[in-house]
Parts: sequence; structure tokens; C-alpha cells
Amino acid sequence: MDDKTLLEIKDLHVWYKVYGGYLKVLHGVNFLVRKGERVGLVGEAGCGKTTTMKSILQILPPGDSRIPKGEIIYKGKDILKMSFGELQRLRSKEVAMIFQDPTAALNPVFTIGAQIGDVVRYSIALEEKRVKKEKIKTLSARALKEVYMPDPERILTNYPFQLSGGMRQRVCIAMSISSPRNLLIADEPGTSLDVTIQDQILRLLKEIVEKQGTSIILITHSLGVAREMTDRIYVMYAGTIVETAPAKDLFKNPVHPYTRGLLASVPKISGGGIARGIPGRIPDYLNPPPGCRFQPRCEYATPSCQEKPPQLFEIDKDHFVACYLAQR
Amino acid sequence: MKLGPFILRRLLLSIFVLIGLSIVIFILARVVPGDPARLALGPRAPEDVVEQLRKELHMDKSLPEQYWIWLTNALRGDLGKSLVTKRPVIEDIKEYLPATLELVFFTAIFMVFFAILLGTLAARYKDRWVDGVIRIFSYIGVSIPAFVLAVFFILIFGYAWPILPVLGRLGSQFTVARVTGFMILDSMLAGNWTAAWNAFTHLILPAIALALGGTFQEARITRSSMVDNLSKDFIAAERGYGIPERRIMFKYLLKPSLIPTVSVMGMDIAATIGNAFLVEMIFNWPGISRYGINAMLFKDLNAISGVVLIIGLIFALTNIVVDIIVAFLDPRVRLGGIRGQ
Repeated sequence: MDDKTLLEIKDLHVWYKVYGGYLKVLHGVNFLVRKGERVGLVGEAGCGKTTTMKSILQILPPGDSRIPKGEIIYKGKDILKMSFGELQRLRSKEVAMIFQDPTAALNPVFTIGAQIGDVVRYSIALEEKRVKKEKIKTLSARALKEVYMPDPERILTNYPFQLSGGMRQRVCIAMSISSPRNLLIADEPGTSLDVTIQDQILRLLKEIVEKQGTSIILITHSLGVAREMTDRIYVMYAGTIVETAPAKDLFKNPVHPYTRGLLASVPKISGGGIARGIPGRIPDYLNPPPGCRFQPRCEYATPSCQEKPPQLFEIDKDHFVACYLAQR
Repeated sequence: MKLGPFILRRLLLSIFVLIGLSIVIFILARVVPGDPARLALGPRAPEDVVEQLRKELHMDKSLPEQYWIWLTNALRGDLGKSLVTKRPVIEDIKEYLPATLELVFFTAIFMVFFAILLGTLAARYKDRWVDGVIRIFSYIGVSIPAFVLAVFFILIFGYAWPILPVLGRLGSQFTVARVTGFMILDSMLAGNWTAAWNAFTHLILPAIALALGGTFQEARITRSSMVDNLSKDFIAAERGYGIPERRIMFKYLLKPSLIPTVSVMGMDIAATIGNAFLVEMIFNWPGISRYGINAMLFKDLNAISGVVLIIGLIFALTNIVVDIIVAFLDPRVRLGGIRGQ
């Protein structure tokens, strides 16, 4: 870890309690974000991307989840060991998350103004005991202007259901940037919207990040988006990081069989029929396969893959792979 | 949604409901076997006197004719005469209804307060001992009928440990002039505060006996809808923005979670008016529910129709109030339509 490191996740395990045991979803996630860096996180649905991100803010469903092992170090401090006050400070001033589905992420029975207002209030409430209503309103309207919302004053009096999907996502982004943050987490910020709106939202995010010099973690299952938007990409499979590399390197020289499969399964506009894809499905988290979690679907699997999960191994500068193939 | 037109529309709609209800109950009361005139006059009354009463009750006419006569009279505020009390039904209702409304009012306050409090606690401490204790009491509360509770209360607080009055509306040492029919209010109007307090203590046990089942049922509904909402992304998002936990619980979580509770609670409270019968019997409470049941037993045709009409009217009004509260809680109902998605 050097002084450029903003966030480092080390060997994070997260389990969810279900009837009949624990879903062992995250199985040793390692993840690093440097100051001002744009990091992509790709992987198929259900591989633990959102779980990893929610554990940074400690907003996993309470009571149903536990973290048996791991560290999440933000600016040199382990989030998992923070006091409640420190955690609230982290949430209100340092890190903010934009959710995948803006309709679910906004409270349906409160106005936009009430919701942004509270985010603004508690981001400044630590310094100022009494926050004036006028100031909250001005800051809220300014945040909406930042995301190019027309007529912010009126939007503040609207309820979420009176806005379109794209506008709702803009509102969510406005909440996250209403006060300056050091790290933005964008969880598939366009997936629930149609393609043109998705494009607008991504461009907006890119602009904000560049303007404010914020670090961003962009979760996506589109490799194209990751390539365009980020400096470095993590590829995740079934609760583990299987490969990470600078964006260019990853596309030029994918090593892990899963990364290769993922790249091969991108449909190409120039034709060639339906992409190959990866046979099989994400494993059962209640009884995950022994050793490497990808081994049941891997065409290169050897008996040794079932013994011990492979560790990340540096094959090039900043290019790590968790596969026995790469170590040979 | 403008409130005025909304209420007007709902009122007009409830008129149709009430007419339908009155037709059904009118026919039901008359097709049940037994001759009301004979029942009213007793087995030894001479046949021509009974025949005379049948004529007075228009029982010699066809059912539609009878209904028409009843309806036109009812619209003029004349619900006919009771065969049992020999007084106009409307006078009987005026006498008995306030007692029940007073009881239901306190039942409702108890229900609203404790259903929300217990539901919130159970959700907040989900799967912990608080939740477990509330769950056990819920099963007990829902499965014990109100009249059994009433008997228990009388045994416990009337005999074993007599700290609360268990019979009637007011201690016999007080006399309060009847103005509104609401005992507490009348006592206050008379400036007799000890009587008001005494009337209130008379209310406590019957109100709790009536409220307990519904309270626990609604506490469960509140709990499950809160638990449901707790796993929603908007709660995770609000936590993630560093909004304090207490504000999330009592603002962002409580408001959307109350919508199902309010809908059920409204119906429960309205139903109490009719269901209060056994509790009114046991606590010797001179209420409309007891009056109505007596009317049924004696085939007191006019009284039956009158009571059902009044209870139906209260149901309809409660429904409107519930809809207004739901509209207040849920902007999607208030402002109509869902745009976008």
C-alpha cells in the first residue's frame, strides 16, 4: 500500500444467512482504488459485485449478512472496525453509492426535495449544528443543476413517480455529488434504463468525475463500457477476483479463462452470429465447489484446481491473475 | 387529487352501497321464519290484535311495496317504531349509539397507538427476544376472542384485584345530565371532572378487550411491511448517505410501511361497532351493538333495518376516512397515475 491508495479491500468474505445455512457469496475479494482512479468491476449477474460495494458503506442487509473475514481499508483505516460516528462521517462525506435501479433507490412516498435535502443536511450537519432550510434548498437545487435537470426548483417538489427513469437516475447522482466526495461507487448506473439514456448517464458520470477529480468504481457487465470509462478493470467471478489489469492490457492480453470467455461472449455488430458464451452457470453459494470456483465451468481445469483456490499472481505490471494456468 | 370532489364522489358512491345494503337486510329480516307481530305481542294475544299490528307494519303488502314505504320514511328520518321498546327506532339509536361510539373511539386510539408501537419495535428488533415476545402475544391476542378476554378482565380486575370498574358507563354515585350522550364529554360539559375520570375508568377494560385482537393483528402487519421495506434499496441508500438511523426508522421507513396497516385498521375499527355485542353484554354497556342483537332475536324489523343502516353508514364513512389517510401517506394515490415505470 502506498500513499496513493484510497481504498483497499483485503481478502473480504461475506456470507448471507438463509434457511439451511449461509450463502458464502464473497470468497476472498481483493480490490484496490487509487486516488483519482477510475476502476471498473465486471462480472456476470450474481457474482457479488453489489455485495462488495455495499460492504464498503456497511449497508448490507442488517442481521442477514456477516463478514467472517477480511479488511476494508479506507485512507488507512479499517471500515469494519470503525466506530458508528466514524462510519457516519465516511457515509456522509467520503463515499457515496449510486444504485442500479433508481426507482428502487428513491423512497416512493417522499418528495425529491425532502430526500436530497436530508442528504445535504447530514453531509454538513457534522460541522454546523443548525443548518438553515434555505441553505439546504439552495444546495439541493445546485446539485440538480449539476446533473442538468431542467427546472430544479420544481423537481424538488416532485415525487419520484412523477419523473422518468433517466431523471430519477440523475436525481440519485445529484444526491451522491451534492457535497464533494472522494469516492463514487456507481452500480450499473444505466442498466435499468434504455440504451440512449444509459449513454447520457455514463457521459454525465464521466464528466463529473473528471471535473471533480473523484475516484470512481464503476460496476458494469458491459466490457465495452468498462473499456471506455475506466483506467483499470477487475473481473469478478462467483465472489472472487479472477483477473485485474489496466483496461488496455486486459483487452489485449486476457489470461484467465473466464475473462477470455467473457470477451468472447460480447456480440459483435460486424456479424459472426451469436457469441460463444460460457457454458454452465454461477455455482451454488450454499455449497460452493472446492478449490477454484470457476473450475467446474473451465475447459482447462486440472485435478489440482479442485484442491486450493488460486491466489492472485502478478504476470505483468499491475496485471494480476488468479489461475494456475498463468503461474506455469 | 382535490380533496373536495374526492369526498363528494365517495359519498355519492356510498349512498348506492347503503341502498344495496338496506335492500339485502330488509329482505333477509323478512324471509327468516317467525312472525314479528306474534313475537312482539306474545303467544296469548288474540288473533285480530296480531292482525292489526301486521297491518300497522304493512306486512299485508308485497315486499317491494314494504321496502318503498320504509325507504321514503327513512329518508324523512323516520325509521319506524321498535316492537320491543315501543319507541321510534331513531330515538333508540340516539340513545345507544353514543355509548358504542365512545367505546369504539377509545378502542381505536388503543389500536392505533399500540399496533404501530409494537409493530415498529418488532421490526426494529427482528428475530431478537423483543420480536419473539411480541409474536407470542400476537398469537394469543389474535386467537382469544374479545368476549373471553372480557370475562377474564372481569374476573381479574373486578373480583381478584378490583382496581377498575367492570360494569356500566358511570359509577352510581354520579349523575350527569345527558347532552351529547358521550359520558366523558357530558361530564366535562357539566364541569364534573371526577365523573369524567370515573367514566373514563369504566371505558378502559371494555376498550382493551375489544382492541387487543386487532391491535396484535395490525402490529404483525406493520412489522412485516416494515421488514419488507427494510430490505429495499432506498433504505440501504439512505443509510449509505449517512442519514441517522432513528430518522430512517421513524421517517423514511414508517411512512411507506403504514399504508397496509391503515387500510386494515380502518376496517377493523368499523367492524368493532358491530362486533362489540358480546363485550357490551358482559360489561353491561348500553350500546347499539347490544340493541341490534336484541332486535334480531325478537325480529324487531324496524330496529334491525335502522341499526344495520347506521352501522353501514359508519362503515362507509370510515372507508372514506381511511382512503383520505392513505392518500395522505401515499402520493401515488393522491396525485394519481404512475408515470415512467
